[in-house]
Amino acid sequence: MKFDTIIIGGGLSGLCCGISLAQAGKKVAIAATGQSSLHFFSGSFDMLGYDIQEKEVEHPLEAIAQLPDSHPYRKLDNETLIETATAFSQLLAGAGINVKGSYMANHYRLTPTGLLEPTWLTLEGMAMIDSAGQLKTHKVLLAYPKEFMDLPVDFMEANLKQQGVEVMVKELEDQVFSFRRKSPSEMRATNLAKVLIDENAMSSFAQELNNLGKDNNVDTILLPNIIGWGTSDEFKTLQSKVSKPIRMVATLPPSVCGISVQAKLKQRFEKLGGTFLIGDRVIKGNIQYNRVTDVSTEKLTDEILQANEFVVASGSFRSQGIIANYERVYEPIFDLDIDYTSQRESWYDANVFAAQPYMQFGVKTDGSFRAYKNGVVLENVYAVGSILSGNNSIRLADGTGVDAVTGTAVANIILKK
Amino acid sequence: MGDELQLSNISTNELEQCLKCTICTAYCPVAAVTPFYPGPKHAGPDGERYRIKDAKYFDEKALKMCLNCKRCEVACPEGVKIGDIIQAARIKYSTHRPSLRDWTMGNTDLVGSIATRVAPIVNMSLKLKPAKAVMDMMIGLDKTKTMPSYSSQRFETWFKKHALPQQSKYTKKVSYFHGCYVNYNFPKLGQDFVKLMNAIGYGVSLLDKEKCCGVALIANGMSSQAKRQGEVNIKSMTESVSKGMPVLTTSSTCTFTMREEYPHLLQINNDKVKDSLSLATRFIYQLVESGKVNLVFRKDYKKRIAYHSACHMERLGWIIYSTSLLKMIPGVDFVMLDSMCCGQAGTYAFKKENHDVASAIGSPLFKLIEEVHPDLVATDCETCKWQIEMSTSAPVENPISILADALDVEATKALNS
Repeated sequence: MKFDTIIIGGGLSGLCCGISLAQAGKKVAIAATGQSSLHFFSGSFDMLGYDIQEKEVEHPLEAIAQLPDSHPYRKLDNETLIETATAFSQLLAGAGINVKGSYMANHYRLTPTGLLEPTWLTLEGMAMIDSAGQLKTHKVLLAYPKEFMDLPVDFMEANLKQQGVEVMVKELEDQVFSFRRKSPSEMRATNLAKVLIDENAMSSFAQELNNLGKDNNVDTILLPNIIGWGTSDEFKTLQSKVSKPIRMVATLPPSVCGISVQAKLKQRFEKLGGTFLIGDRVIKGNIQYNRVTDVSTEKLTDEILQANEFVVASGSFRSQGIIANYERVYEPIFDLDIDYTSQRESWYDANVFAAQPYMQFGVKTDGSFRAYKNGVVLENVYAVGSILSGNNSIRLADGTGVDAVTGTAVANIILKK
Repeated sequence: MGDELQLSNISTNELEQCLKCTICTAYCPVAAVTPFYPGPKHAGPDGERYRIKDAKYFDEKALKMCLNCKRCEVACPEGVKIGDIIQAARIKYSTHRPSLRDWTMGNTDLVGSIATRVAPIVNMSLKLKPAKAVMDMMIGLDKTKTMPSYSSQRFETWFKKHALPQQSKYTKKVSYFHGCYVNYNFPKLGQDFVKLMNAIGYGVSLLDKEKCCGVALIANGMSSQAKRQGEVNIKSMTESVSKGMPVLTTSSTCTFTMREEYPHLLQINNDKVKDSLSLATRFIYQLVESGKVNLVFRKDYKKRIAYHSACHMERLGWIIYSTSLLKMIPGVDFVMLDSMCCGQAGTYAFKKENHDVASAIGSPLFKLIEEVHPDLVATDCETCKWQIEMSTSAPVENPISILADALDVEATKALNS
C-alpha cells in the first residue's frame, strides 16, 4: 500500500496533521494503537499557561518568545505560530468543534477542583471566564446526579467559595439515571452521557434543572461534563430547554468532551478520504540512506506500507511513544534519538511536587521537526506532539497546544516541500 | 543492569499493562446499555487479579454477558487483551453445563446438516408464531427474532454438481473454507466467491474435511468440542497449504477465530497455516495491488454502499482490504459508517435473556443506517447481516457478493486468463 504520508498515532497531533494534509488532497493513513490522550481532555486547548518561572501567562505569543530554544514552539517564528494557530481554529470549525478564545490573550477554564487555569481555546458549553476577578460576581448552582463518582464536589465547592463565588450545591435525583444506579460502579460520566443521548431522558433532565433554577436565585447552573456523547449537539439541545445558562466542568477521565473531540476529528479525517487504521500498531520501519521507505504493522502482517513522508505522533510515556526501562529511554519503532540524561538518578526529582526532568524527555528534532537517528537527520521523518522533547507540559500547561500547533505546522512543512 | 530484574511485561494477555484508565469500558457496547454487566475493565483485568487468587471470584453470570466483540482491545491504549482475559476465564472457571438451547446454537454444523435436509419445513416452522413461542418457552430462544432460514441445497452439494468439474482447468488454485453460514444458510455467497475467483483466473477447491470453526461452541460453553473441530480444520488446511493452495474465507468471524482464538483460547497450534489463511477480500486486494490481477467493473453498476465495520473485522485490522476493493468499483458511492457493534454477536442476540441488551446495542447503528439511506450495507460478517436486515430497511451483502455482482466477468476473464 502506498500513501503520500503515513502518520503513526491517532490522537490530537496526528489527527491535526492528517486532516491538514488530507484537506490539501494528500493520500494519508493514520495508524493508531489504541485510544488517545484526548480521553483525558480538560475541555480546553492550552497554548501556554505558565512561563518558565511558572508565572501565569496572559499573552501566550509574548511568553513563547521568552521560552528556551529547546521548546518545540521555538522552532516556529512568530508569524508561522499565528498562521498555525489560526489554521488549527479553522480545522476545529471544519470538524464541527466549536470553541471560544484567542491566541492573543489567555482566558481561564474552571477545573474540576474549582480552580482557574489559564488557557487558549475552550469548547462551547465548558465553564470559562475572561478574567479571574469576574468570578466572584457569580451566583452558581452546582448540580450533579446523586451518587455521581467523577467530580470532587467538596473540593469544587470549597475552592469556589474561597474565591468569593456564591455556590449552592444540589444533588439531582433524576429518574433518568435510576437504571444506571442499579450498579454502584455505574455513575460515571461516560455512562451518564450515553443515557442523555435519548431525547426523553434529556427532556426529563432539563425539567429537573429548570425546577432547581426556578427555586434558587442563581445566574449559572454548573454541571459535570456528562452531556455530549452523541453525534448531535446535545449541549445546545439541553440549553434550549433550560432557562438558566448552563456551563459544564471536566470530570475524571474518560472525558466525555475529549471522546467527542476525538470522534469528530476522526470523522472529519475519514470524510476527507483519509485511512484510519484503528487498533493497529506500527512495529518497524525500513530505513535506507537516511530515509524511511516503508513501515509494517502488527495486523497488516505481509503488507509494506510505503509513503513519501512519515510523521511520528505516537505520544509520550503513557502512550508508549517513548519507553523507559532501567537502562535507557528509547523510541520503539525507529529507535530515534532521544533527548535525555544518561544518569538514571537525574531522570526524576525525589520531591514529587517538583518539576520532573523526565517530563522533558522526547525525540530530538531539527528546526523542521525532522527526527534524528544516530546523530543524523532522517530526511522524511517528522515528530509532532508530546513525543517531542523540550517541554514539561504539566508545568507549562502547553500539552494540547504543542499537539495542535506542531501537528498542524508539520503538515504545512510537508506541503511546502 | 542485573539479570534478576524483569525488564518487560511477562503477564498473560498483557494483564499487568492495565493502567485502570477505563477507556475500554467507555467503548463497551454491553456496558453502555445495561448496568448488570460491570464492563471489560472490571470483568477482565480487575476481576482476573481476584480470580488468580481464588476461583470463587469468578462471576459466571456477569462474564457471560460479554459479547466477545473485542472492541475493548481495539480501544485499549496499553495493548491489554481484555476480551481474551474474559473468554479465557469463562473457559477455565465455568461450571455451567450447556443447555439444549446452547447445544443447538453451538452446533451450527450438525444442526445445519439436519435442517438443510428438511429445509422447507424447518424454515416455515422458524417463522411461525406458535413455533417461536414454544422455542421461547422451552429452550429460551428469543421469539421476536426470526432465525436465519436454511437453504434446501447445501453449498457443498451445489459446488460438487455445478462448479467442481470446471475447476481443474485453472493452474492457480485456492481452497475455500466456506463456513456453516454459506453451507447451510446462504450458498449464494459461496457461489459469488467461486464466480469471482474463477473470473480472476483461480480455481477453487474445498478442504478435505471442514468443520465449523467453533466460534459458536466457544460462546456457548463447549470449548473442548471446539478444540476437536479446530484440530480437524487445521489438519485439512495444513494439507491444502502444503499443496501450495492458500485457504480463503468469506467470513470475518471464522477467520478471526481460526487465526487468533485457536492458539490463544483453544491452544491449537496454527503456525503452519496462519500466514496462508486469509479473508478473500484481503487476498484479492493484494493481487490487484501487486498488479497480478485486474478487475473490470460493469458500467451500469451504480449503488450507494455503506460499509459496516464488524467487530471481529476491526479487531483483525483488515477493514482497509474490503473497503479499498469496494472503492475500486467506479459506480459505488461509498459511505463509511461510524464503527458500532450491531448487537447480534453470533448467537448472543438469539437468546431470550439477551434480547433487550442486543436490541439496545444495535439501535444507534440502525438509526444511522436509516439516515444514510444506502442501497446496500456491506459487511464481512454474516451475523451482522442477519441483525441489520432484521432491524433496518437496508439489504446487506458481503463485499465478495458486491464485487461479483459489479464485475464485468467476461472482460475480467479476458484480462486475467
